[in-house]
Amino acid sequence: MNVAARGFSLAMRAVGRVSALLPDGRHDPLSGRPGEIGRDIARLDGPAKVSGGIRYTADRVPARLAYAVTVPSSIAKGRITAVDSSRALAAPGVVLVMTHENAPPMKPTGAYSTLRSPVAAAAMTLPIMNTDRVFWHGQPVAVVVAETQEQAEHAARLVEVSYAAEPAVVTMSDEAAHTPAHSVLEESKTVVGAPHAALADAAVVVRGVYTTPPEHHNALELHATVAAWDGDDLTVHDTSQYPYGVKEMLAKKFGLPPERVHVLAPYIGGGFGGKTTAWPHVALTVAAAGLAGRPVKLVLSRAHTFHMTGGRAPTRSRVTLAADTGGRLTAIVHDALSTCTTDEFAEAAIVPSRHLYATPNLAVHQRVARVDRIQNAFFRGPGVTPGSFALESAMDELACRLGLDPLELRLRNEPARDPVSGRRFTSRHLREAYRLGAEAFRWDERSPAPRATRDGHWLVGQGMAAAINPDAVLVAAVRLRLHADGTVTIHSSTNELGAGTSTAQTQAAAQRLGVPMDRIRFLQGDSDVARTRIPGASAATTTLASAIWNARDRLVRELLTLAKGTDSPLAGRRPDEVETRDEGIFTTGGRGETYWRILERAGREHVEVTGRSAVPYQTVKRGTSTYGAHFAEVRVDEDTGEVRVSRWVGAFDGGRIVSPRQAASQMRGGIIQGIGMALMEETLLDERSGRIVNAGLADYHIPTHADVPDIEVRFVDVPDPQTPLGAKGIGELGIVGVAAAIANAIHHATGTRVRDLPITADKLLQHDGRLGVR
Amino acid sequence: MSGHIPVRLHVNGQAHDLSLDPRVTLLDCLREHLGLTGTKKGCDQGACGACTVLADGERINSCLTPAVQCDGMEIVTIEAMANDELGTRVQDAFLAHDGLQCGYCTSGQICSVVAMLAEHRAGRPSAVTEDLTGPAPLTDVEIRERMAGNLCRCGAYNGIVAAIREVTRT
Ligand code: FES
Ligand code: FES
Repeated sequence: MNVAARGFSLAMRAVGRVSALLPDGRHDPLSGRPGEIGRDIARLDGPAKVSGGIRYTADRVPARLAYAVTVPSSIAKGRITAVDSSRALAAPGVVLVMTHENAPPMKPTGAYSTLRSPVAAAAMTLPIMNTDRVFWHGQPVAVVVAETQEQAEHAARLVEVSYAAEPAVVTMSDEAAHTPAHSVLEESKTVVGAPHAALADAAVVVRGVYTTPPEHHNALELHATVAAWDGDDLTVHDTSQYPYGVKEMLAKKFGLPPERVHVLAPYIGGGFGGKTTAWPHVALTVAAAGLAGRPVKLVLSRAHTFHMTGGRAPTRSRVTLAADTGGRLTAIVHDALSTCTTDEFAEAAIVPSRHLYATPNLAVHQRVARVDRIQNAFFRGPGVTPGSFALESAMDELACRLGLDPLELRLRNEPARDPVSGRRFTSRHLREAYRLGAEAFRWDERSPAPRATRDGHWLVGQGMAAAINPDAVLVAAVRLRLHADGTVTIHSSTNELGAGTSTAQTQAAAQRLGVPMDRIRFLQGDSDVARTRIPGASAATTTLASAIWNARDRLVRELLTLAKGTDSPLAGRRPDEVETRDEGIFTTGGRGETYWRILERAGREHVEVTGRSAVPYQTVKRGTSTYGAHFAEVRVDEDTGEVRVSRWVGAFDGGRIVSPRQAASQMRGGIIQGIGMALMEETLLDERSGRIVNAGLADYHIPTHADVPDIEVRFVDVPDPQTPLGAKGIGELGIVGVAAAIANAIHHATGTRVRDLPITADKLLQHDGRLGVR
Repeated sequence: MSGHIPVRLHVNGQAHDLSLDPRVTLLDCLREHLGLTGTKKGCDQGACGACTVLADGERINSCLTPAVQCDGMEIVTIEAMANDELGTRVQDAFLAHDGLQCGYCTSGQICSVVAMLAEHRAGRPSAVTEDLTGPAPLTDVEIRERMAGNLCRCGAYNGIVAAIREVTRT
């Protein structure tokens, strides 16, 4: 192991030891109480969304707007030897052509995805367009700005770039691999007990190599940036999941005080991690707007979202499981390889193997190989999603070998404490999720033998898999303003990606403050509100709830101060003697008054407080994760190898569910992306040139209406005793385990095991001698 | 401007006399020239359906349609759906069944539903219609096939199908 990885491991162990001394999380009094939280309501931004009334980034058309189009490199590695912009500049409507020769200097920033220090949103440290170097195929090498989109697109084709190409490495190999400093903030190499001795002694051992391909997020909204300079003030609308991070990045890159940079991103058309970090086009749009002296809009084409924004790195996992005859695991060994770039971020497939099952012996080792490709990105369930395909497929293979029901095998290996750290969980209701899911699916009716059920030319099978995803409370602050009429406005720097954050937070705040929902306005997406580091990580619900909880406590203190020395029934009361309910502050004895009355007496138009999320001791001290179980039925066409997903039940432990309708939709969304991952999604690369050959939605397939059955979602819905609202973040959980559930169901249907995603008909026909031969 | 072509578009009941670069798609014309940004661009290649609008009552991908080709046509976009009885019912059903998340595909989905229901009423078969001799019932399989050109990356498909079921039942 290298120095960085060893250093990280030592630091993590030290944190582990110290954290044992920390107090538990503060119990949220709201977590178990009925009220707005948990009520089944329609999403609050729905009416605007169904009438086309929401303004997304690309919908902005400021006065004097010019349009930008990027030019991608046509080599994967080397140098730009010359750029001839003359033909482009002569084309009608062209305002300017920006290349490395005339782009303003942009200071390098740390890359967010290395998670070294959680600053700025930059996707990479590479000095794009401030160098003649080419680092990947499709890197932006010029930006053309014109009066219209059509003129810019035309002129972009006229820019002539000459290169001196160098040999590039675009696929991963063992020889070039090293151990990364960390694996999504966990150590990259862990050994517990004596795994190899356990393998030698085991009654049953299964071994498999499982691979997942590169994938792209393909949020339906294209990445877009609209930048406008006004003197030294910079206003940027951006499709960013992390507006505050973009503000920090741009301030640093362009040498501006942060207060002069305003990033706005209230509504995002889907992100899934692909808009967590700011890809180079964001700063390039800002630079081009500076050169043009007018606002510039850049919307990446769908092809350019493949070339100029990163996706999930490919993974290869070797998994070995050992068990006794009773089906108890005696060893888990998981070696995983993935790709990375200059900025090291591992798609750490080993992660689920560290947390999902009890085992006395364990060895996991993540490695990465550097490639000349665009920086790989966070993608829904980084690490756990591909890793769970490997682990949960292997568990199914083990169940088959043992002749044990796959659900029963999992129940026999459910741990009481985290298998690696030995820490207790804040809550873990995976058993209950298994029970709920199995019942709804009627799992007990499944025949144990593979290839036992046929419906005409369809072979029918059922499979299951477990899901796990870490839960985190991050850094955020909100500004809460109580107005004289008793209404409340909450300003936040987070945004609405479609998860239902604004609806859930309005529900939670209504109950926290004791006011009806229609008296609360939740305003989002403005980077200037407060330092807010929620780039994703399923953390919005609990982090914002924590900040609003804190804001509520500060508001109560302010209002009691206002009441002090007056004839208010609250005069002289302490914060711990009162509750917020019925649109005001009351003692348990029922004495108190409404918010507007307190403000009226004090002659105040409003009271404003800032609330900050609390340091999440509990998640450091204990393991906080979300859990789930997928039950899937597939039908495989015996003649063609076509796979159809016909039935699905997902059951999840996400703590208390704040907004059930939105939560269920989000789980379905994850499951559907998992169906895509299992059966169709793959970013295909020409291994000689590094070029992505299926850079479009006609060639990179994602699930359509016709690919998706009715999906039943169940929640355990038990509050976590140590998290805000008793909730846990569920945005990513839904996709985890889905691909394995499908692979396992396909095995049950056909008797054939495919270990390489996506499971396309050609692979099935190749592996299964009986398919396609009738 | 030289090379521009005069065109009269009727959009949501309003006439617009424009002079357009022939490369301008109907989608970009709506969004960048007429300020109707409710219609979205997800691919600009005819692969996602986000740009679906109605042209003389038929659903089309406005990203594949040059605006100058729509001279004299009646274009209806999401902004006018609330003026239409069926359109309103589809919108309400989307809300009730949570047939949306980020909302980016939603305009296209809703326009597509309205036209799809008309196609079905007119007796037009789909690729999965088994009996071509009579009116096919609008089963879930039919709905899913007929809506397959409208992608939703958030995966709101179940809610959309439920919304369509509700609209056809009432
Ligand atoms: S934008 Fe027209 S089909 Fe995708
Ligand atoms: S709701 Fe986001 S793409 Fe459909």
